[in-house]
Amino acid sequence: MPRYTTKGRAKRIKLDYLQRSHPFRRWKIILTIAVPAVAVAWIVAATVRGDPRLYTSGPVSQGHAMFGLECRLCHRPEGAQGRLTPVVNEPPAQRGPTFRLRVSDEACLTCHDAPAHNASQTFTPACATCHVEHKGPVQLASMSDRKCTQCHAGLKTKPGTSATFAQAIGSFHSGHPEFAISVKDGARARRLRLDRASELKDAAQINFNHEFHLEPGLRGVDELSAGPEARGVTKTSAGGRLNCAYCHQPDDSQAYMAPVRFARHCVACHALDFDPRLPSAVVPHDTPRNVRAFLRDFFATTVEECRKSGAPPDDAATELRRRCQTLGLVKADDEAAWIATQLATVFKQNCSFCHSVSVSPGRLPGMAATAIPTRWFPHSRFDHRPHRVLGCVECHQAARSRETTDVLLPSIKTCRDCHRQGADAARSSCVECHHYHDKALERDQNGPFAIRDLRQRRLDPRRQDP
Amino acid sequence: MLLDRTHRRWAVGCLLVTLLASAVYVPYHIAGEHGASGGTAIGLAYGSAGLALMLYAGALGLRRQFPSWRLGRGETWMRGHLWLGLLIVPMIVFHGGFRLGGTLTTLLMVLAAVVMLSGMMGVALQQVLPRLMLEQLPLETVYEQIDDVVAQLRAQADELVAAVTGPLPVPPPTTRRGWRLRRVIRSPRAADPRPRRPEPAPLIPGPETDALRQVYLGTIRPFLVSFRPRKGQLATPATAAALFLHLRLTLSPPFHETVDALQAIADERRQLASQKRLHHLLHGWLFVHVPLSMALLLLSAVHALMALRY
Repeated sequence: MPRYTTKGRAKRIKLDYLQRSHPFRRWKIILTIAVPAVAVAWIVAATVRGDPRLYTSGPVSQGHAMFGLECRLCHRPEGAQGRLTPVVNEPPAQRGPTFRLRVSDEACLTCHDAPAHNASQTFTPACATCHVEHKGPVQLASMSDRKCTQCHAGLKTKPGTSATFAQAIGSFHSGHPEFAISVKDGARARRLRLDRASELKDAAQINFNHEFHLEPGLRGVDELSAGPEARGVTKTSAGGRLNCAYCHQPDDSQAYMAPVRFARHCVACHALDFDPRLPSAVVPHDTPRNVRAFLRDFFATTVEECRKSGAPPDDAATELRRRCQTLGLVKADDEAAWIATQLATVFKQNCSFCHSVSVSPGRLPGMAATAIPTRWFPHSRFDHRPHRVLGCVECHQAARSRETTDVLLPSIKTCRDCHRQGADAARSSCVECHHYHDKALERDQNGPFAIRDLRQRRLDPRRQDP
Repeated sequence: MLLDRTHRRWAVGCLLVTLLASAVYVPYHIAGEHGASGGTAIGLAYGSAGLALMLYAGALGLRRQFPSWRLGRGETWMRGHLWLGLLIVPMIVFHGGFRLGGTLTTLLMVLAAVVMLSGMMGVALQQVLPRLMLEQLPLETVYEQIDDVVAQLRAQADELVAAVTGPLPVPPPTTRRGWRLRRVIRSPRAADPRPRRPEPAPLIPGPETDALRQVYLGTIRPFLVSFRPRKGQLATPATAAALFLHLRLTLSPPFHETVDALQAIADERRQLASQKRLHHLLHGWLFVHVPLSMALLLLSAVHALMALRY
């Protein structure tokens, strides 16, 4: 039997209980006020302390890490004009009343140099549209292809100018033309794509047969393999064999190959002994004028010595007489003509082995200047270091090249074998090979700031210390 | 609020909006330089939607302060609070591009996560506990009045036992809120102009009254006085029934009515203790949900303001 009726239980409840504060409700109200109050206090404390980290949308890149807590170095009042406007310790009155603190190009250009991309471009994007900050330790120069293809997918140029590059490039895999090199066409250079094989011609002006030089058993190579130059030589059963790396060695940047030098890469096998009748005589590898001077002096001295060959017979005189007879000097009536003939012979037979030589009587022999490009693709950049896992002939078809005029550069198809789309491929974004800013137009390395300016965040070159 | 069939449309709508937001987000994220970013037009749209939903969810509290305002049915508001509040999650996650960002945004994400989880826990508890209370606590009373009712039960038990055993050597009723209990018990009597009833005399003086008094003072009354009566012989219905059965067997029939009444009081006390415990469970999440929601709203407003600035 229940002890209470419903009415009896209801009578136990005080009707004013809702008006009386209960701890449960009271604490809920207290917390609802206290927690936001703590949040406000936190905001206020950070503001009073001048700590801007509170509002950052993420850590800045490594390059800007030392300015990470100085928001105003980049975020300037909209009224601020000019790249040299002081932005730190500036009187508030000069900052302007603006609430918004956006990143302007001027703020970036205070420290950075950003040469124009191309003189005929129709618009220049703001720095911050491509270089997106507050994304953590990312490379600001690394960006997606979209940044490039917003123009290059349908390239337009300023009125009166014409596009010198392909006008519809979607990506490295879509619309990107075959690589092109600059070929001399008379007085001017002409861009020629690698797929136009019939027109391609290496105008290096040096006679060189790659295939021959990569064969084993070449004369003199065995001697190289035993000496300090052995690094670029491989021993085979058929004899020593030159590797590509014997001649093609990285430059100081390690990205490109340094020019091949006769004195360093050729002379070990190709000694400049200009006359088999005089095996010990070696001509210097120098300009035609100096070579001719050396040879003239050499032959004149020889003639002079042969004239004196009538001296008392001894062993030295006997040897000299024998050499003079070998050279035919004892029969020569006109010594000057003989020397001229010898000079012409050396230039025609020896120098022309590698160089294009033209000899005219009474004139300095003409020699075509070598023109091996240090950069074949100056419009892009390449780094041999990440590619050193590959053999050279994987990209450069040197083993089958006999002609000097062969262009041994890899086509775009070769690059696309690895730099393709997909997760298992090498990167193929535009910035892998191309710079947006023309580095050739950058200012010199002598910047406008002192270390003290950077440490004290005073990035105004005009600022004078008190 | 029970999740029943009437929520189906809300759930489907919520799912559709989430799918739509995801469909927009995926290509936007892929196309982005470093994934999605809160500062882009689409990112700002997600952020604005998230903030608007937060404001709506927060408005429920305001709506409850003014129940007489004709701003739609409270039930609809609650459904909106529940489902639209759930939409805040994809909106702010898409806004942030699945990144925590800086200090403030990280805190906002953490707050949002805690608020969401506490809200979900609250919804889950509401599916179970009210039904449980309805079934297991027939003597349920107004939560705020539990302490007062318990004090009344104790005073009633004192009177019952004193009526058969004579005056009890009990101190004035004091608990952690003793002042209030005294008022509850004494105020009606103080206001009563009639002369007080004389002290009761023992019904049958002897060993039985001593036994009852001993059990009451030693076991039953401590149970009634205890603020959290979760231990002891009366803590469970089975052990309590055994105790009172033992009392009935020990005492003669004239005492049985008192024993029955004491058992009923002990049962009610136990139920009220259970009700209090379940109420704390059912509404305790609000101590996390509501204050952190307010902080989240406030800091979100600061974040929006500062995003506009920078």
